[in-house]
Amino acid sequence: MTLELTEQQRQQVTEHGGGPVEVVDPVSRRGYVLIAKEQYERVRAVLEAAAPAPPAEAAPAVSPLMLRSQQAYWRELPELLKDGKLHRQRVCYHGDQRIGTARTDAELVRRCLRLGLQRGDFYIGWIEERPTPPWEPPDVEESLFDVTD
Amino acid sequence: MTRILNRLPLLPRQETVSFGKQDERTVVFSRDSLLVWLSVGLRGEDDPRRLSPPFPAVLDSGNTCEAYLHEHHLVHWAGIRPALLAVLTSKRINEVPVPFREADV
Repeated sequence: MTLELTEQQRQQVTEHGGGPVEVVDPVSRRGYVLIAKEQYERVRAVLEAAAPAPPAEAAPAVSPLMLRSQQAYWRELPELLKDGKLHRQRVCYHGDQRIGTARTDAELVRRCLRLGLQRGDFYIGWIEERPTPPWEPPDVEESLFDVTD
Repeated sequence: MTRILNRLPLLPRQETVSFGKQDERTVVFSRDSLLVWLSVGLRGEDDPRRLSPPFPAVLDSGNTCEAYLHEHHLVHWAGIRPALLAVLTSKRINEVPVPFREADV
């Protein structure tokens, strides 16, 4: 939605060479600044970068179904690793149920969606040795970030 | 990995990079940065039309863990709501809990 300037605002903006012109909401008394669009585009990145960060809050938790799917993967991974043909393939779990194995994520995602599952209802893991279960935070080098578990 | 890194160009000087549908966004990269272009999509999405528009990022050759993206960039640069990406685990970075979400980058 684009609002049109009132005649008074148009005159003020013209006199100021495109702005900035201060205006005020007569009800809330909140002040605003009118500037030409090209001027706004120049400072837009700065304004967005300076936008206040969202309040610190707990990270969203892993859903119980996702966790159960990850646990099933972790439980069955040793057995899957014994089958050399499956090495480096993916395996997908929906809760305790193994949906199947495939060479690509896309294949397993399509299979899950055909079954009526939603994204987030299933976990796809690689069939390969891994040091930690998927629900544990991945290892991150601490050279650049102050990382704690 | 080393061979790929060797082939990536280091920026010879500070550079302002424009991106977005009409190049309406700009970001400044420092000299000697490894600039890469990323798109983000849902995991297993093989339709390129469903990937985010490409946006620039710095390749941190010392980072051994996936990809870091600020929520602001995920929303405003990639156009993806975080809630669309399933949470796999979480990590504390600079004392802030950060979710690890499932996506293809």
